[in-house]
Amino acid sequence: MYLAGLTDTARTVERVFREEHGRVLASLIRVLGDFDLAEDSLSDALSRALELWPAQGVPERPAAWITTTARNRAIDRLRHDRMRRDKAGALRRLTELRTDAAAEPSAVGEFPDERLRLVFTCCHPALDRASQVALTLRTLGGLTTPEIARAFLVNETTMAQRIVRVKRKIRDAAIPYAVPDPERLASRTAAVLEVVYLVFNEGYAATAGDALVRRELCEEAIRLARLLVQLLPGDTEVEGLLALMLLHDARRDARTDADGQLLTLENQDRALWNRERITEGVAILDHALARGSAGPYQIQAAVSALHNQATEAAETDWSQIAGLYGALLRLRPSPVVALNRAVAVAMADGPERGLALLETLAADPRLQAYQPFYAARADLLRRAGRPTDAAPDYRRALALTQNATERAYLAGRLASCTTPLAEQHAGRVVAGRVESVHVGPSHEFSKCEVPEIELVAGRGVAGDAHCGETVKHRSRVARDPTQPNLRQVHLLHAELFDELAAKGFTIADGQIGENITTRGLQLLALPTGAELHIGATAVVRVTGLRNPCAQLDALQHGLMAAVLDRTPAGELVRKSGVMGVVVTAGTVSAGDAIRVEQPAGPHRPLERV
Amino acid sequence: MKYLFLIYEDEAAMATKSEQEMGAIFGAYGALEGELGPTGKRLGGEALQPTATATSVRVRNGEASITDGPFAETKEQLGGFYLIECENLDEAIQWAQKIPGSHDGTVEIRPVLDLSNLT
Repeated sequence: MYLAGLTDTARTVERVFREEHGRVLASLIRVLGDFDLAEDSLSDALSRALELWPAQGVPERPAAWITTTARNRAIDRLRHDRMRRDKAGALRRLTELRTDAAAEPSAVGEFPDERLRLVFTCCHPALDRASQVALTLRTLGGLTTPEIARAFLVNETTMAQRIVRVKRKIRDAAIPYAVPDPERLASRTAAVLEVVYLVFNEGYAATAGDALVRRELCEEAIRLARLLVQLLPGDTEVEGLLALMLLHDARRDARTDADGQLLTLENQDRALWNRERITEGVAILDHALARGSAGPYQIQAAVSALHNQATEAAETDWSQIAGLYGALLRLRPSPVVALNRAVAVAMADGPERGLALLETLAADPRLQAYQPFYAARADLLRRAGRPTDAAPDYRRALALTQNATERAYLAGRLASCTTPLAEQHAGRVVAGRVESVHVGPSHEFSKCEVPEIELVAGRGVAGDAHCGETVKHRSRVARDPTQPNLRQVHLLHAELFDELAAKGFTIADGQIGENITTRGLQLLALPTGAELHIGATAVVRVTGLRNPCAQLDALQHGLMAAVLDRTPAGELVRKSGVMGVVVTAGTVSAGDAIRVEQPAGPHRPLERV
Repeated sequence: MKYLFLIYEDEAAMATKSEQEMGAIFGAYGALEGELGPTGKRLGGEALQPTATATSVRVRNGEASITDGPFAETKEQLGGFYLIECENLDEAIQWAQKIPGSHDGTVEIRPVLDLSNLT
């Protein structure tokens, strides 16, 4: 019985300290003007509670007991600390509190809530973002330094140093412990909300780390937002953020499959969504929206609410979502919001409308390595009945994706948009087009994508290391430098990249050294001597198959084997494209048509050249 | 609490300003002085000559090395300073926003180390 009682008390001590941590600490910092002293005194009070409560029982008003005990410990610490600069002031304030019966915390609700000051100090713009987050979680959340370190995947020493540094800056630069003036309140509140949302996203975006820790971060962010709603009742964006987080968090259990891989909205089991959270989120959002013009958090929460209210993906109100993203775009212009809007428009009004919007975004440098852009455009092109255009985007998206579920989805889509290579060997040559062009001025393996290349008759690609009348590939030069150059232009079918992407190789156009990446053309099945008419004037005569070399394995392990096959008879099949010589000069750029002219005489299959 | 306000500006850009533009800048500093002076918080402040006039001195092992130019080559250069008594960093940030140099350059706020409290 005694042991059980002890465990219960220890649990009570832990619970009370966790619940009251932020409030008591904030009030101590206010009186002491010193973060460290406040934290040390609070931790002294915790030790005292663990000593006394099991024997004497939990006090009637535990929070008041903790505050009084911590204040007394602060007095002791101040008296023994000769080094402290401002100890006289702090001691005087403490002694006044002790003698002033009215100020004695008789119950939790009776001493003023100092947490709002603390929030603004922790999220002061003169502190860097990572420190703001750490300090907010540490003081208001009551998370320990090791817990914060684990959540943000930094080692404990680094996190401890970060917290020491930020507390020192608050003290030494005299960052005030105060709620900002009315004129600065809105912008300072926005900074606080950013910190809270960052905590939530760290827990929600399943980047890495322990699932349990991540869940706690989300809970903590929601708890902080609830507190802010209570402390800043005038700001509707605070409610907007709380609603947004509740509505996202409602989908938590449906977001991953059994293997922990993320599922997109349309693939989630909606029965797993937390109805209680959705109802609460929607109610909070409605309360905010009723009181004025909607800010960015409210708009995002409204989008989330529309998704949550659809009983199945097909019932989603996409035109309203498109309208909300339009409103968000006006408040916060960003290419990512524009992308979301384009997708919503496509869902509402058809893929062509969405593609038209994406066209204006394609040149934005911020989207060049943004996976969702390529995945979205690929899906819209496929739905618009343009699989040949969709394939390169699926491949780019695949190259930018680590998540296994998403990879499987993209690889499946890519396969449905590309002509399988097996058919290419058997099939007949018709016509194709240029997907991209590349030039490599040095003998480096990979070449750079350029808008256009210049083909020079009898020599090859202007500016390329392999351009010339006699052999240029260094292995051949070593054998006999006077041989004619039969490898002036390297052409490769993009379908090979599609096939490799599905096998897990992420190869970009030009990366394995081709000058012209083609699509829709069965290059490997061409007869020797076939002439490719490319663009307005250029003509390339095909001389043979490229021999894959060991440099492929240096690029990605296993790549060499992946571009070789064996026929049932055991003959080696080389799949790394064809070589050719320039018959007629001309400019070649992406999108050019390729027409094939068959040579006279019997069909001679391509051989290694 | 004392704070030092270090005003960094692009010297090259300053040198190309017209007489009229320079007049506007001096006017803006005059307005700041007019606001700051009566508060009694202004403890000091000067404009500096360009870095072309700077000399850097380092003494190592008793050996003085004297070189032409500023301590570090940067895009913006130290062009002036203020020393202002402020209640806290928020007040300092407000003064910094009123220093004309913060509008086309950068003002760095540094709290002054109070040596009188060290034992």
